[in-house]
Amino acid sequence: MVSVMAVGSLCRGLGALTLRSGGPSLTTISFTKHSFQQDGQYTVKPLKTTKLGGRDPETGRIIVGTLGGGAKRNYRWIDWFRYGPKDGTFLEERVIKILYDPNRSARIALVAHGDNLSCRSMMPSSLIYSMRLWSLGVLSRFGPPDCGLHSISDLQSQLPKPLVLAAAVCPVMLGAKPFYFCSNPTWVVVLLVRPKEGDAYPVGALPTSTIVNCLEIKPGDGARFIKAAGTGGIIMRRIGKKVVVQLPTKREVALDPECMATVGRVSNVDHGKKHVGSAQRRRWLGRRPASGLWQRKTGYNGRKIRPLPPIKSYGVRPEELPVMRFTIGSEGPSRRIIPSTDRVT
Amino acid sequence: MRVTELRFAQNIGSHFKALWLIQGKKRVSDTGAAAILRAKGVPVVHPQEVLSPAYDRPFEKVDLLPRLEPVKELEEKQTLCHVFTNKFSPVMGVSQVQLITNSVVRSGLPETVLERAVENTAEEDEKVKEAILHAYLLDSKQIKLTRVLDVINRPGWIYKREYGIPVARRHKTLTYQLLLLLDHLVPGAAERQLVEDTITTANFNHSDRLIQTKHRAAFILSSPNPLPQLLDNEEVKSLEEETMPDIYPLSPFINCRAIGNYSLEDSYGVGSGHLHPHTIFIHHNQSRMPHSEEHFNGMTLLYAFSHAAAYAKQIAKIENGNLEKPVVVQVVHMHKQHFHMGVFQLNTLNLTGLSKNIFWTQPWEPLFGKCCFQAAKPVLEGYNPKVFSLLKGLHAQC
Repeated sequence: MVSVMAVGSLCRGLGALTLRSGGPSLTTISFTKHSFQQDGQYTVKPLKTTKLGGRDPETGRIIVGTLGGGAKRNYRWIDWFRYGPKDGTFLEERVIKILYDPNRSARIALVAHGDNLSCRSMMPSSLIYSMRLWSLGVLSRFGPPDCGLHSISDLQSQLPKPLVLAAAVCPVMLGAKPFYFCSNPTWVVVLLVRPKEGDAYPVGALPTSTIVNCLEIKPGDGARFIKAAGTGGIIMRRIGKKVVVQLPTKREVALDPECMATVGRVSNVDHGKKHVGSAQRRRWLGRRPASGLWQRKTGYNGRKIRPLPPIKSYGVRPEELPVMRFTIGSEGPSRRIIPSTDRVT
Repeated sequence: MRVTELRFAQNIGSHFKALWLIQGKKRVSDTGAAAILRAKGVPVVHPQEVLSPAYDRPFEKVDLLPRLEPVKELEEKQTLCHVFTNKFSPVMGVSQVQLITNSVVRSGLPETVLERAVENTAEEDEKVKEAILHAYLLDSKQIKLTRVLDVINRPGWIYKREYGIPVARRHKTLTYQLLLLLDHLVPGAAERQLVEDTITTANFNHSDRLIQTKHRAAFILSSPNPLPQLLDNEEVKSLEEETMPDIYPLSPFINCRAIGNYSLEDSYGVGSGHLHPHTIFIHHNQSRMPHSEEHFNGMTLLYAFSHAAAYAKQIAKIENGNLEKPVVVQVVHMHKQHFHMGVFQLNTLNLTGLSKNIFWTQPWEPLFGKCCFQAAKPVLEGYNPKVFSLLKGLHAQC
């Protein structure tokens, strides 16, 4: 019961931190409060944060006991929206810089196009995007050990000198039949694009077995899946009007073909191999000591093999019917049955 | 005797005072004394009739100062304006600022400057070293310096807060000391005037956009005569064929968001029209340099342009278009030991037209490598005499 309550309040805490202001929206799952600019506009400047130490932002009660302390991490507002024009042209963005972000495992990219400067989550190996702030990029070229790219500085040295590296955002060609959609009721892709690492396309335009990251689950909602360092999903097949993508957990999701995805793996592939190193470093990372009673299960405990869950389909939900009321208020109890306070006595 | 008895002794008085207050509230019972006295013919008076008022207490009425009116915020205008302040950092470096200011860049300072940038004598070098030591170590100013954090290499580590000379004061002292030396070396330089801490604002139209430059300068060195034109009119005409850099897909205004609350007034840092700009000294006073050399150089070009243009607008009363007589301005931009120098000739205020402005520059030069106390002795290492000789070349222009 206690755990159920804790989860409930945790969800409420996370809900309170869903941030939407001005143009780009962003959702954070972190136990910090961010202070936004007064005009509410997107900015690439790190946002000042207030650490909550595992407390619920509303009630102030401890909801996670193992959080607290550590180096302060100012929040980098990542632009998760990669959309291009819908007239068949591309939106090209130039990578200005690859940056470190304490709030996530991947590196991020400062990208620019036109008047906009934005941060993108860092993308495939060499390509990162536009000058709004940063995005989770993928650095798949860090993969093979003999490729000579082992760090961000290696990567930056590989960037073309005039810094012209950009992610192109492919438009969704809804109107043009020969391009992308067909009027046939069954889903037929007339023209698939040749994916380039770092570019963003609708998943429906990508050939199967393409590795993608920063995946949307609803068109226009911003990247939700596959953002952690070194991860990548695979485009598996098409079922009806949906495109099935395998997530890093091997779970499969069926998505609307207009959902945008970035091609390649997320950067900082070796993140998982790095060891925390010491108990003190965990404190720097903001984690408090646990009781020590928990032990990792070994082979003695047996092997857990469970079938994958069925494919989950995301998309526009059918509109819910309105709620109607067939009773009148005086039929209810004469006094409140839920006390206004938590006091028992 | 217990120590606590002494430690808490000061509280005894408080207890007595409190008790005094409590005991002070009493109900006065009627003892019948007043009735007995009246019966004997003794007048009985209430004590308040005798005791109050004890004495006159004069009051002086003082009027409060009128409240300060809050500073009026500028109204939001419909046309947005890109305001370039000292905080602006050109993402694409010099190329971006070239497109903003419609300028051509030449690597290397003009020959007239280099001709006069003669080698320093040993005595001059010694004096420059003294000036550096004066500014960096031997100043008696001591304030709490800004906090130092190194999140990546030492996360969570709180460095000891140091006391010392702030960066802004170091820059000003060093610039002032060097100018004193230069005035001795260059004949006629003493007639120039030095204006400190100026703000220069100028507004322009750039294609369909409105831009404003609003820059602070640590010093503006003004001379009684304007600097001579470096390129004659024919050479200026030939600049029209030069190609401008391409920063596709970026706009020249990137990293400078257009705002609505701005003022359209132009003002040059020096009030009088007789004070022609000679050299502008800009100080980059941040404790840590967040920019690369390319960005830094781009800023230098923008500072030179903004001061030249604001001066031209004040003198020639021109809003747009080509100048009849070009304006030449020299600029010295410094951050700690790095000096970036340039010479700018403003030919036109039409920022999208064919005719172009021109900027001579060179990579930044460090004045020294290291200047700190070692074993309690002031040490200056890696002194670079080229900086002072170039400053001599700039200062000798007239």
